[in-house]
Amino acid sequence: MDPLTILTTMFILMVQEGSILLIATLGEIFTERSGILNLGVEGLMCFGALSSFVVYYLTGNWITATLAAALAGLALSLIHAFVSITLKANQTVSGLAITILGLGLSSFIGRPLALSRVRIEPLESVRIPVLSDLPVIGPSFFNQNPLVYLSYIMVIILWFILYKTGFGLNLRSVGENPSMADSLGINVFLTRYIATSVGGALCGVSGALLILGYYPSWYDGITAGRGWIAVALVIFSSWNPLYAFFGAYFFGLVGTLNATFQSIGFRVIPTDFFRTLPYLLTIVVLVIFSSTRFRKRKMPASLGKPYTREL
Amino acid sequence: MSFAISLASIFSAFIISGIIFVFSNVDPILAYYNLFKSFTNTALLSEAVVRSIPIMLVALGLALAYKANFISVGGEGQIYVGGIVITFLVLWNAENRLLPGQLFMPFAIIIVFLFSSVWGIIPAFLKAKFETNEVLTTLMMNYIAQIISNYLVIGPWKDPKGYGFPHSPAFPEYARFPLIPGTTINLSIFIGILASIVIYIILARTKFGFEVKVVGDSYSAAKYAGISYTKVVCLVMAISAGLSGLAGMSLLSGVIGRLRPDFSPGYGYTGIIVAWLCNLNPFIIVVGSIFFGGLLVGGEVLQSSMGLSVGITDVFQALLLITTLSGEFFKRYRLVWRR
Repeated sequence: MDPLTILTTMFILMVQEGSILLIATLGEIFTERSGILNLGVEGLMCFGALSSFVVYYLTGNWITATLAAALAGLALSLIHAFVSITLKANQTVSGLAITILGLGLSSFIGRPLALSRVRIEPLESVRIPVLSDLPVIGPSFFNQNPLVYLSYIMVIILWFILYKTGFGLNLRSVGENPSMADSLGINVFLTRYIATSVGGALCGVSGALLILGYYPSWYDGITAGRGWIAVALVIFSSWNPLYAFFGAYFFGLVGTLNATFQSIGFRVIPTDFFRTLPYLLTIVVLVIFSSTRFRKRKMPASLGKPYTREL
Repeated sequence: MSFAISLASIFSAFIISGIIFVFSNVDPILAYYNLFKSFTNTALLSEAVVRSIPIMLVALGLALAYKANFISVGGEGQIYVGGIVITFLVLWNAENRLLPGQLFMPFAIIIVFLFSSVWGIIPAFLKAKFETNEVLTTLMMNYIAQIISNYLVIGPWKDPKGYGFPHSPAFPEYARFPLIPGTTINLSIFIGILASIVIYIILARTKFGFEVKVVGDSYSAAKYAGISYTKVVCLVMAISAGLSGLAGMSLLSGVIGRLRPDFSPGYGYTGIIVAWLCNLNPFIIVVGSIFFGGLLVGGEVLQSSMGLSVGITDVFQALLLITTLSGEFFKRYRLVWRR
């Protein structure tokens, strides 16, 4: 194989894997910016994937299926919102519970599908004229399924909402200093509910992309830790949607090394080593980006802290 | 009042799962009967106790970590590390024959504990030095440990006489925990019971236990009192991971008898739920683990008799955790009814 073909193949896989991570990361950024830490991403993603798979299998319509995934993510994240915003519980524990709930529900509902080996046709790619003729970048970024394009658009939309609208300003101030925001007349609870449910819906959609795009059949544990990597990517991207774009594709690239080295017949290191890379890299990234210098300036100051209104 | 709230929390979890059963066209009464069948039948109860051993060991370790406010979710990975170490020791001794049979298990328990501790200290050290989020680091390490364990069992440690099946050679008799006569329960349950007493003593009676609680309550108070955060979390995680490693050893030496791919069905995650639901109390954890062991057996009964996925036990566990967490709200804030 010539190097250009290898590079193009790598980039195509990178965009596929990266876009899944990107949508979930964007969702979690939106949630965390309001001060709510949702560690349920893995569960939301998995439940979203299952819901879209079922709806796509029944209706054959990917838009309906994606909406179902969004609804599934929204429904589960509302539980987290209720427990952590209204009942002011420990958000870490609640998030873990949501993950276990999402994975359990998916496995419970998906069992007949897994046993009968139901298959769906993956979403078809849509070529973007002109842009898709570029070398390497063209076939990888501009010849993908519509949900991948949605992930690019969401970067811009979320960045715009967070930094250029009044609602975004309110949302960020609720995440920084909720009592100040409250005294300025911003509804802290409502804002956090909205941020958590929109974020959850996006996590569901990332599950839809995962299964509608690349996995023709359902099996347990299909998300394979991607939700957790997305949570780490939020720190990596300093809670900024624009940086999330680069972070997600960087991780996407690492996630594809296994397949790439297998396809070119590289046998020096066991391929299982490459399977551990995304997880190893996540730890390395956390070490680098968690140190005070990087994080303290960017992290929403009230992240993970419940807000109680003073009487 | 607080007992009533706990009961109400558990009851709500039952109601919500009941609704899920109804929606999936299953008679909820019959489903619950099957889910708790272990507690009506001696053979199944013995099986429930067998399942409870790894859960107990993981949950006890996690309770100690959670007391220090170190939210480890690394039990699952540490189970795999424990499994890797005990398999290594078995293979090593089979080749070199350095240890006589009677000495093997005591030696193995110490080595498994120590190596798993080292694995557990890594995220503690990273948190102390770089403020990395321990939930994420311990979780990532779970995936890494499981991949390594599966690599070993499919690759270099595969049984040459195993007809190509992906498992290690069977452990010899001296590397197995003996069974309590008349039951399927192996002796590693006493490690669990001993651990619960030790954890209780550490927390209630020692200076270190006091430091753990101070660190857990307030990072800055600990710093002000001259307690080393690094020392406390590293030690806490060494013990926590050591116990989870023993859980892995107890699974292989007590139940399975060899290393297999994906040998833990998520005991590390069940341990998290048990630790929180039992309010981090070491004695309640022993009882709670048996209850959850029964629930896991019940899940399998449900799957084989009614064709439901074992995933329903995860759903039930998660719902229990969520309702209990919600119940905390009503314990903390007294509701006042006003006209």
